Amino acid sequence: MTASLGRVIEASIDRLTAVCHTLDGAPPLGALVVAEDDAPAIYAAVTGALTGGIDPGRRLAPRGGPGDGRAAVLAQNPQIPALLQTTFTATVTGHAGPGGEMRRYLPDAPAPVYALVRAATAVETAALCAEPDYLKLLLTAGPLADEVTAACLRRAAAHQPDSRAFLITSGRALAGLLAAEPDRLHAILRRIRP
Amino acid sequence: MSLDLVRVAEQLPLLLAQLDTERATRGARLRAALARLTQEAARPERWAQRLADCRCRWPLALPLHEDAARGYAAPPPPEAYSVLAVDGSHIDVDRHAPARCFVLNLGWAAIHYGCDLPPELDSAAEVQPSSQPLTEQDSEDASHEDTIRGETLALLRSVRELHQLAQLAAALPGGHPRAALLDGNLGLWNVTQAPISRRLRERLIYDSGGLLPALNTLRDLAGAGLLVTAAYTSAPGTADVVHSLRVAACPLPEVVCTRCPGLSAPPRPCDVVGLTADADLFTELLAPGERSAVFLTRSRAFLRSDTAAAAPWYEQEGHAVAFFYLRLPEELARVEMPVWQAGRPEHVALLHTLLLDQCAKGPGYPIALQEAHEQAVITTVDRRSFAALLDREVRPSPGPGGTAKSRSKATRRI
Repeated sequence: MTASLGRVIEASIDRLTAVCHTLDGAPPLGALVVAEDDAPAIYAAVTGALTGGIDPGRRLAPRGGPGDGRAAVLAQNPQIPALLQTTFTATVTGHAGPGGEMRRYLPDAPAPVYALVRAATAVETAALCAEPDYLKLLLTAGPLADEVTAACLRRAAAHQPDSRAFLITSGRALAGLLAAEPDRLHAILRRIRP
Repeated sequence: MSLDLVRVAEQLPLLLAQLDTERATRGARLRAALARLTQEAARPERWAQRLADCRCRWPLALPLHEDAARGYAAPPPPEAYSVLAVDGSHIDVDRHAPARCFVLNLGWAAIHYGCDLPPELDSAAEVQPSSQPLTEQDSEDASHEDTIRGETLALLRSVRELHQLAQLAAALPGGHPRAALLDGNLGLWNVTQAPISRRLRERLIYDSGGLLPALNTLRDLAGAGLLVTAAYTSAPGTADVVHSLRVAACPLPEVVCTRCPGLSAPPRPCDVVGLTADADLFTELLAPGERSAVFLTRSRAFLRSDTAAAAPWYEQEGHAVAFFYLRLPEELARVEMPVWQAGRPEHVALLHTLLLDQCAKGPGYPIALQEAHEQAVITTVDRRSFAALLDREVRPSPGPGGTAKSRSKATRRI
């Protein structure tokens, strides 16, 4: 099992937001993560990350001179990392059934708030991507859905025994789902071309 | 309409005219005060004697060891140092609430520069009465009791802040210079003069969580290593030095303010140097980055019967209050410290340079104090949330909670 990356602080049926244990510790775009923590696993693909102030009422002020790099600014203001946090959002792509079987559709309930979130293992990634049903959920992942879908497929391909075959199969599935939106289809295909 | 701004605006020309009048006299008073400061700084023994003999109610101050008529530059800051700051906030007792209680929130920031230690930004909240009664009887007068609310609660908070500062300062890592900062003044005189019972005053001063143990701890820490303690006031309104110049400028052979010729025929003779605040004087005297000489306060209240009061407890215990003014690019600040630190030039110089560095990082106000404030602050939303929590937890039965007045404020009707 991989170490946890963060903790769920907000969740709906189709999305979750987690706060990272470490600053700038968000998983990469499209990475598959798992929220479980005493509840059936919920699988989700990372759709965005944000690093900002913990207190929404305090804006970050510009600090340091024009010649000061990030390290110099943080050395002059060592309290700042303690005032920042990194959060990431993820779109739910599937969940584990009562017997642990992979279900590539939305769960009955959101991920529990404060559940730990970790990166999906290679086995879990391969299991989720074994059937293309999860792609339909990815394609509704908000304004960056196409970027998220392409990133997720690129990363998942690395866990497949035959990456090329996986991408071709996924591309065909996308062609069916996006038959009425050829521009979107081509944009995604350009991004996953082996 | 709660405030008729049109009516208020109609009165502003009068305010502006009054300000113009004050500005016209301020220039002359400033020149006279600077000249008097130069004159008295050249003969400090006479000035000290004049202050010692005078009978007035003003808080006074005397230069401790240095020439009062000049500024002092700061040495460069150390490469590594730690700064600790504590601040507090509270929710006062509300008699319209379903339970009489208060919340005291202490926030602190410990920031370490030039080393790998992580910062500590945290707070601790306390609800009372839970371990202490809200009302305390006096030990000498059965009809005298103190309720911890309003100004008494503010006193308790200032005591808690100093106690917390001492506790956290003791836990600061050593090996490099350290500063322990409070916002405002050291609060010693406030407890001494507050209209509270003797029992409560002694508790606030002498109990294990009181002022004296905290001051003793800080003194011990200063003796064991390079730790400086200070209370920092932004844009202070104090006038101790100006008052002392007034005393010096008094034409009476012995200064007794109840016999001032200005009482029957204003203005008072000392008004010639009567600036509103020390800030006027030292903003003119000091260059940005400089500090003033260190002054020792003489805050004893002299009664109109001409009988001098005894020295307050903190002077008797060796914790008399000293201060200097710090000129920043945008404003003047007052920096108070105990006299045992004020007498050590290397500690004063360290405090000076660390405060300048902290203000540069602020910018304009010590960054550690800012962060401590952010940890301590109780926002309007927090206050509403606490009121709702209290209402939910304490109110015995469903239905409208609070008093009729609090309900009328919550539901404004026409």
